[in-house]
Amino acid sequence: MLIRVKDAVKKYGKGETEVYALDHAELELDEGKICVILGPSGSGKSTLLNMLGGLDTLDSGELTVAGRKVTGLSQEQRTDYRKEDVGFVFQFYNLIPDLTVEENIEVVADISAHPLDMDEVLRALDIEKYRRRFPKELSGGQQQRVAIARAMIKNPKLLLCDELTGALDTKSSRQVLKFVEKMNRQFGTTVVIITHNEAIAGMADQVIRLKDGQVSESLLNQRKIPAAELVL
Amino acid sequence: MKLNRRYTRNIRENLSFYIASTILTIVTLLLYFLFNIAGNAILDFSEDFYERNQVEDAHFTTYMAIPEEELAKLSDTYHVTTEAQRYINIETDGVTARVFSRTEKVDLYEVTQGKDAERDNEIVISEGYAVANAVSIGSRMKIGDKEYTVAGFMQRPDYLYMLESEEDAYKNVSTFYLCYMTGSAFEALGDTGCQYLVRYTGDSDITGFRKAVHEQYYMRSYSSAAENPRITMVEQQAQMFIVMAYVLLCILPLIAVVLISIIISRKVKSEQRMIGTLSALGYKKGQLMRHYAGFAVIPGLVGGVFTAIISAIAAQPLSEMGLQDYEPMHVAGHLNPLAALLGLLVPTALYVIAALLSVRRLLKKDTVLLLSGNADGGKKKLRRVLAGNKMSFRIKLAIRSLLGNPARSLVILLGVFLGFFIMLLGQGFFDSINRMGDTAAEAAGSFEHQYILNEMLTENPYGGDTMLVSAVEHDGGSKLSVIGTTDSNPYLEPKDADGNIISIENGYYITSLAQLTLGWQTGDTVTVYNPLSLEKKEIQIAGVIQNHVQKSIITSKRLAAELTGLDENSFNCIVSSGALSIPEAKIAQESQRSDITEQAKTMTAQMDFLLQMIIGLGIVICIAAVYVAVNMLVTESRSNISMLKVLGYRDKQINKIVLRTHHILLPIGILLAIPCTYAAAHAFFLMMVDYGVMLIDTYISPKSYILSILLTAGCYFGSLWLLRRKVKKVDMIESLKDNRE
Repeated sequence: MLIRVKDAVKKYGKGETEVYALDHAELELDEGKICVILGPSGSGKSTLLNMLGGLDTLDSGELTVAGRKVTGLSQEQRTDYRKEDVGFVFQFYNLIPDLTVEENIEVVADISAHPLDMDEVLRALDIEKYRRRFPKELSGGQQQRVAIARAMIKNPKLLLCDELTGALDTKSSRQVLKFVEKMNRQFGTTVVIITHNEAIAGMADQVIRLKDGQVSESLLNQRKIPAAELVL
Repeated sequence: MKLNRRYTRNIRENLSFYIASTILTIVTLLLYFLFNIAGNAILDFSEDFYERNQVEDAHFTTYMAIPEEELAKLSDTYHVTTEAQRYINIETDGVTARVFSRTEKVDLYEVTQGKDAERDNEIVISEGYAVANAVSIGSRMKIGDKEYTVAGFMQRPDYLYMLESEEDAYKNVSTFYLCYMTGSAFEALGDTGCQYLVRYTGDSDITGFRKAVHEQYYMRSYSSAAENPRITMVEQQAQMFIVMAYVLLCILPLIAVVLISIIISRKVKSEQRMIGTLSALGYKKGQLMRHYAGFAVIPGLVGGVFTAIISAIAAQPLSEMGLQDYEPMHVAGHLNPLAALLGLLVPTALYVIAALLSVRRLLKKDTVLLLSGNADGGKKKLRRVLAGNKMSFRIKLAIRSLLGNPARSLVILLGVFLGFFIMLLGQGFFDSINRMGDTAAEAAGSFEHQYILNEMLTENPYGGDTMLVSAVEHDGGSKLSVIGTTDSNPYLEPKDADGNIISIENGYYITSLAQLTLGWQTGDTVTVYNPLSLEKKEIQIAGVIQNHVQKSIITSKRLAAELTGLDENSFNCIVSSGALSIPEAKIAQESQRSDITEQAKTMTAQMDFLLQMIIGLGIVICIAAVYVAVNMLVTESRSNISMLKVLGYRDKQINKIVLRTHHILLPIGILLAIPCTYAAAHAFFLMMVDYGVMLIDTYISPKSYILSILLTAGCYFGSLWLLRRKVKKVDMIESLKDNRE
């Protein structure tokens, strides 16, 4: 078991404006699998991703990743956790605009203890020929592949993808998902994809549905299909 | 407009920006006001004081006394106002009192405190001496053998700058004062000297008057007010402040205004999503321009109002600031309402224009681009340099950030440049004047003692080397000294600009200061006049001697005698390495080499407060500019900073990446400021030559460099240190949310 979330609670606001983003949520994810978390806006998906990634802390409950108790880590320890164990891919790529593809990836490689080979990652994501280009010179799909490369260069235990196809057209979305699948297969990385898009659930090993901050459904996908065959 | 509710929220969110911009506006405007107020206060006072007390246009002495009725006749014939004034110098316990007889038409004295001397045992003395030596009204003072009661303090229009001798370079209020007493008490003092004071009008026949006096009574000396440093120093000081205000310091507020305008336009650009949204919602161009102009008004208006208030409150002490060297002139400092209004309106108008132009430029872009925040691409090419280079991404990021955001980089560069420039310039003035004390002594010669005799001698029983010293007037009417000497004089070693020793015996050589002020060149034939007889002579300039201190013609004794009409076998000046036993009665003026150095030291000691103030202003400008610009950098780099945090970078590492970006601008700003400081100081000293001051060579000591560099670096790194907190405060989740939106 890679991830275990137990009785997780996260509230925002106070008094009348108090909102439970996570309301005693519970879930477990296996190592090396692809997990798709689905849910409407305000269901707590992004909050859950923030907790899994060590970006934010729970008000109560417990979160364990690869045997490491993330709840209770100090700010510095959470920074180290993000540095060593987690890779992030966001909807709008969040690449540093003044750095080339290669340099954006180098930003992470530079602080990683055992980074993967840059060329191998660039090849794996088919962006080798863009290595000296700046983000603005690339299409959305290409930028998202760079974001995946940046996340993967540290060979993380966990790859967190937040609406990674949200800003892409169907063709690019499929291509990006194919690469995520490839990363999972090639490097054995556990992948958590947070999305609105029900169709993406087809490529998952495990599908979790969130509603009002609670896990409403968690099931193993018996009929997993390759990303290339998804009808997006 | 409901939209205007954003003002208070925006101010709260960007408080540090508004505070820093306002402080920068205040500090730079204050520099302008400060010198303007001080200069004008002196000018206003002196103009009024001179008129009220009938300041002289000249004074002269003659070998033969001019009888009272003859003086009246001369006055009528040549349409001048002239009056004899008797005086006596009495030294008591090392302090010289110059006691004057009272005059009625020229150079009247004004009792500034207490009352005039009414009894024979009462005196009034110059106020500067009384203040410097804590003499109060009612004190008893000994003059010669007699004791007097101080009834009051006085000032006299031709002694506002208290020089014991017109040849002195610096005031003396420690061992010299002026004194007036009743007529009978004055008569009891014994033998007195006499000088004639004269005022001219437009109808006066000045040349005729001077010639007539010389022909009938033999002019011994003639000194016009324009050549009298006791009078000219007052205007020089005022002009120096006004020149500083307009020529030098006026540049700083302008630069600061440009600097803040850049910041404001970048602030507006950072609002492009909001501008796009409002434009999409149907807000018109005019409404948006007015809205954003409102943000720009704040630092200009608040800064202007605060500066006007501070200046109005501090006008009096500011006016008195420049008077430390003078008799305590009772100036009335006030802020000129027009200057206050300009101070209020000019920066505000420029900030508003900067904001309006930025909004207009943005509104010309596609709304979709504005909404996505991509309307301002900056310098795209410069943001992409070194793409294939193998150096660390950290260095490349810093270089691209520097080059790709030229306006932001310029703000930091200007901040460092201005801060260092002001600090170094202040210390440069200080060092140059201090060094002038040594160089002036060197330029005059290597002698330790100089005795100007009050008679011409042909035999020298006292030792030392003799010289013939006199003066001539040039076409412009001002005087330059004539020094007749020999090539064998061991105390003079005249050199040309290349350092080669010049033989002065076969021609008329001028000093470099004379060349600079009169525009004479080697080979020129120039006309000069004997200042006593006004006899005209033409001489050819044989060469130029490197000497920025004296405005002189240096030549052989024979040629000097030919020029001045004196006997070539006589002399009236002795220079020596040791003190000579010359009877007091024969000495008109005695000076020591160390006097000049001491005078310079006293001068810089008095400037100390001004120097500290200038350094303080430099520090504030440097900190404010760097703080505002780096603050801007941190705000603009929020998404990068949050991403670095997400990726696992520690705050310390992020600080190194983000805040180190502009380090290179620190040495560049400093290096750029050094030649500018020299140029500004040299230009300032050159300008002061026009007001009759010697040309001071610009010199900045290593200590001043080190101090200025340390202070500038301290301000720069101090600003970055303050901004570490801002980097730490960047919230990862909020920034990610912003990106999603």
